[in-house]
Amino acid sequence: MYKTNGKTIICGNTKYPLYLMQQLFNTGEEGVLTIRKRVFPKQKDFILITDEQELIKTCSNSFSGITVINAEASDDEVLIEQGIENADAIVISYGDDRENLLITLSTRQLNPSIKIIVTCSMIETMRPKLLRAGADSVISPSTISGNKMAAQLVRPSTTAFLEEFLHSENNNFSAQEIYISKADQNLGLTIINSEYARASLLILAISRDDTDEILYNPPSSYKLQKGDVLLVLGTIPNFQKLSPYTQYHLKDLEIDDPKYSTN
Amino acid sequence: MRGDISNINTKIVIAIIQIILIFSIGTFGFNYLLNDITLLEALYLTVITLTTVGYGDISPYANAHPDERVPALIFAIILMIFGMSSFVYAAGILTQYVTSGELKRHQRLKKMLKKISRFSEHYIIIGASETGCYIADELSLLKRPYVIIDTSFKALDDYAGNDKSIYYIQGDATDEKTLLKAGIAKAKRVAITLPSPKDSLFLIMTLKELATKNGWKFEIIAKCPTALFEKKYTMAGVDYIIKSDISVADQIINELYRPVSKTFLDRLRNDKTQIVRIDEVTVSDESPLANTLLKNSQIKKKTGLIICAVKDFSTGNWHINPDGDYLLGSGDILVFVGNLKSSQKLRRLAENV
Repeated sequence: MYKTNGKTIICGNTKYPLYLMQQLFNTGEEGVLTIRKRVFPKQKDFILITDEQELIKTCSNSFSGITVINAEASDDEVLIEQGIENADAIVISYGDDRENLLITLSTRQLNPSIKIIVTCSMIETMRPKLLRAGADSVISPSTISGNKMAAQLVRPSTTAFLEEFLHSENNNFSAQEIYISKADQNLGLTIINSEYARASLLILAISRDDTDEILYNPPSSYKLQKGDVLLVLGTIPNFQKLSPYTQYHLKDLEIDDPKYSTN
Repeated sequence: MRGDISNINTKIVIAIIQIILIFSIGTFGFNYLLNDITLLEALYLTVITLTTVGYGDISPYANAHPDERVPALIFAIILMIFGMSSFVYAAGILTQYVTSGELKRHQRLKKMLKKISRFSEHYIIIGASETGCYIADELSLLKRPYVIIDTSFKALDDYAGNDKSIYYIQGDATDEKTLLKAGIAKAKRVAITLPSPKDSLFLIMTLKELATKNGWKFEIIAKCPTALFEKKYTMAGVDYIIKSDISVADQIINELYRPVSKTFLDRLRNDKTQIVRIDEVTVSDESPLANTLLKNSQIKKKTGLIICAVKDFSTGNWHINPDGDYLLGSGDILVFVGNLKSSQKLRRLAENV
């Protein structure tokens, strides 16, 4: 049986490893807020593999808990030595897309269940290749900034609102994904008769088991079915009005993905 | 040079003038030197000479009195050698212009400029970089008017190709003329996507300067790769900074710590198959929605959309999942999730245009 050692390997010669570590560890006692939850990364769980001297120096100075290895990640021996076979995840970020592809391939060979996150510059040509090589997510810096800029251009208020809404824990609002299991008390009820309507929660979208399409703005006459995943929006006191069963589910889902945990 | 409108114009005008000049010289010359032929016959003689047809029905030898022959023949020799060569040269330029697609391209650029001049409340993207093109893609998808400006014709051409719905202008964005062509006076927001922070900084300052001078009211959004430049950008007058490198790091963190499948929010942000976006509209003064209770607004009935949140204009507060008794006012911002068609319906309703 496969056993992880809880380690995350970061390799690359771009500026992103440094920004990544700054975002991970310079947040003080509060931990990092991701879209779904707050996490508390520990420096001892991270290994940095790079041959970029500047990066090695900065990291050794500012993040002393991280294991820094001066080597080329394209060398399989280096990856094996650092325990790639039992690691949780790897972040690959070289300036050369071919190098990223090579490391993705060898990592996937060495460890079929590791989470591989890779950055690339030529997204259109590289994305399919990287995915086929075994990457779990491909990140394109230029797409991310394009995305953010487009949002800022056409919907500035919403962007500001979402930022506040999703990335601050002090506010009163929450968005949750709720999975409708076969034992759910709302099963078969229309939205207007469900406990969500009674708790003044808003069901924004429903992802159904049988189709890939997401149903947005579902009509209030929609009948909740087994396997539906609801995107629910509301205030925290309203979420607390839900029955303990649903609340348990909701808390559960925050940590684990619904589709993943039930199958 | 390819593409430069004024340059092409000059070349074409010169070629046309050249042709007219050669023919007039030929026509009036023959008419003056040969007493027996009419103006039309002189023109005919010039054309058959320059096109090397030469039927022989009219000629500077046969149609001349003996005393006219010498000057007529000398004139004909000069016309044949110099006239014909410059006629062929000018005709060549015109042919090339028509056949190489320059004509079509020129017409398209002119049409585009005319259309752009009618834009208002549009967006201007500076830089046809990867980021810039991504923004353009997204705006096209949402059917919002925009213009891309880049100094390189090649970059614009590579992106736009034959797509007539993409509006672009080739030129230096720090030049007031280029900006005016892009309709900057009526633009809503400008996005700066230049790769170099120094260039961006210079551009922000120039834009701000021109805006104050001319009373333009657009907002400036710029991407800032390093934290070092953030303060400088702000001082230069940028309205919103996109911290690109930190966003990348944040995205990696989200990927690291989140469960396997994509979340709803990711799909809302950039799903290309189902064009559904979280979006917003502002209620205008003339809108039928102003001073209406949310439950009486018929938004759900008319557009199928549910309003997820409202930003109250008078208080500046956000109301999530507003209840039916919420009184909509002008200036309120409504946030919803929907496809293009319903969001356009709501936009028309709210903005009353």
